[in-house]
Amino acid sequence: MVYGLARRFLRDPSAADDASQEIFIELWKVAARFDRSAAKESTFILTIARRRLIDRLRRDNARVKTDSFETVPEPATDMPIDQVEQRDMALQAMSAMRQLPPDQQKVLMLAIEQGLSYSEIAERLGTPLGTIKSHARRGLIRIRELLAVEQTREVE
Amino acid sequence: MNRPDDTLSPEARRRIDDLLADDALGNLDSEDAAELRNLGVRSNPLHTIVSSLSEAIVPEAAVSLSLQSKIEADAARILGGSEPIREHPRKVVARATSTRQPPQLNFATWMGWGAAAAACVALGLTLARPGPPAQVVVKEVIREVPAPAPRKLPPAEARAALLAGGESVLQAAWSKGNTDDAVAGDIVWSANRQSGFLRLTGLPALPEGFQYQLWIIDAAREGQAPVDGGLFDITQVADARPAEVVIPFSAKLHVTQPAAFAITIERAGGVPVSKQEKVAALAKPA
Repeated sequence: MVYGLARRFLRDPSAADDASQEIFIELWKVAARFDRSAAKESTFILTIARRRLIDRLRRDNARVKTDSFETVPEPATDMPIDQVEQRDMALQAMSAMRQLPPDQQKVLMLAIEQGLSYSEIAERLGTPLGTIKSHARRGLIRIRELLAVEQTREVE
Repeated sequence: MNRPDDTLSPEARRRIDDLLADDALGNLDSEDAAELRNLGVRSNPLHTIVSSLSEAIVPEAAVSLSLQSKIEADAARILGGSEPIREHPRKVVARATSTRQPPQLNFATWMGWGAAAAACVALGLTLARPGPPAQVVVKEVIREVPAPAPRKLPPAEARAALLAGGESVLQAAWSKGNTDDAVAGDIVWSANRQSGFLRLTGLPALPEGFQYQLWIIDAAREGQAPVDGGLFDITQVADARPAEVVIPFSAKLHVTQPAAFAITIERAGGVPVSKQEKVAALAKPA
């Protein structure tokens, strides 16, 4: 999964190899901060992998490095994902994404699949930056709402 | 998030949501990160959603043996182990026919896990139980999580089961492409599974060195190449009457809005992007 993400983001196989190695080195190093009871392993790994890849992508493109306000993700207290297998969660998330308006889907796909920044997506789609931000934000929040509803149904 | 939502104004809640989305999608700058911290937020539940979507969207990729060795060496060096990580029997994933992937090992091979990658589980247990050596923990995980044996139906039965299962699927009839072949049959596509079945008659066996390749035109990927649906061969039987074949396939990238499906003739091994010089069949959903 990490390597798949690296290939998707970086395209160049040798850059993807280097990035994957870096990601795993970082993972081994930060491993001690991982609390299994607080977050899923895949979330922990993929979050670090995405950040490292986005940093690399934007560094290579001489763009401004993005920041984050935390290092290790914590679980969503409003989404009991521990009860759901990770793959089911992935399918549910995709199912929720398919319920979004096409414009929101397109923006999220470009951001998640290719690691494009809002500005890059705006440029690629020829759409104002503010609209792209709005699509991305509303889309992701809507997915959260849809998943919360789905999980409430499961509990009932 | 650590701060209870009911203490926030709707505007503050909206602002936090915006910043959380920006953070999860890698668009948070230092100023925004500071603002989020000042708002009392310490974690981001949207990471879980983005990770899940990544898992669903991004296909697994084959890892070269040299990269595998480097990562194993790093793990041994940093985690303090000395033995190489044991290989686990690879989970076999059904494909239409031949694959053009080089003979490399998949991540699932070297750590024994499928979609979420074994690394996730191995790392998790390593961290949850910091005492024992890392390699021992990995081996325990391998025993606990064997690759599930897929239940395999013949393609025609699997197609029938998919159609009868009540799941929402898309079905479209094949029509002639730009070759002389009078193709018939249909395509069944499950958006949930990101896979489906081709039912075909009339496609001839190709000369040696050529293969059919399926493409999925995704309206959500405007301006991008069609998504690869895999390669397949048609084997002609001796009586010369074209037999009906049912072939399972899966999209190599996530497809959101399939607008059309095309079967092209390509050199054996397939191509990443088709010039569509020889289109054997086309199917457009109504």
